[in-house]
Amino acid sequence: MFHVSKEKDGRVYLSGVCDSSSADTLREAMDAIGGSCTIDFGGLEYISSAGLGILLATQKRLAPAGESLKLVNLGETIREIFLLARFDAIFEMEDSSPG
Amino acid sequence: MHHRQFKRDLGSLLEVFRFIDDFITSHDIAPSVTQHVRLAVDELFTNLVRFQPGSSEEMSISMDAEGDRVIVRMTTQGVEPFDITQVPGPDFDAPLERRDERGLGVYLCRKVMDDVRYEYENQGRTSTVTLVKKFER
Repeated sequence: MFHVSKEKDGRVYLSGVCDSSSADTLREAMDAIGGSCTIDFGGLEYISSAGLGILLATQKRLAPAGESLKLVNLGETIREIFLLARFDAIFEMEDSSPG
Repeated sequence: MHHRQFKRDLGSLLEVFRFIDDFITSHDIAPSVTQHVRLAVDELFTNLVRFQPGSSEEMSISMDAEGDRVIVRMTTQGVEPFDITQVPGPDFDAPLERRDERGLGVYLCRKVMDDVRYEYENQGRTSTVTLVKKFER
């Protein structure tokens, strides 16, 4: 089960399992983002390349206007996958969310 | 040997994950291995569903533990050859506007596994991918 929510603090929170069958839910949430935004991965158990591709496409869409996604609260496993995909070169990434 | 057939549909992925998790848990293998095996199998399963949709044949997945290695075999009949070991990796040096959001899956599969082997048998149009992952208990 994959869940996306946008909270009052402006962040988008991801939780559960984001595989190819649930990636459309992530795509809809990313398509609704019009400017810089923080994405919180604290509740996310798993993400595949389908989800990574959507994050990358969103970053490409926002960049010409000087906007970007910031990826926070990455668990060890998710961070490892992002580093393999060299996301550290194109996203601001933080391991934990500052209070 | 742990073995099961899965319908070639993205909706089968959660069942595939449960199959992988059951094997890892029952063999007392470090849980960190689970995510790597899930990712590798997910990427190949998804590729097959998306790019070879014509066949209704199910995918057979088997898992075995040999020494300090998990061996996963994914076999499908009625498909065209697609050697995943020969697919070039993404161009990570490209600027953001030219980074391709496709093509990460096979790359990640190869990166998180210790060995990936591909075989194709023409007569049955059968593709077999063998994934090998070392583990610690």
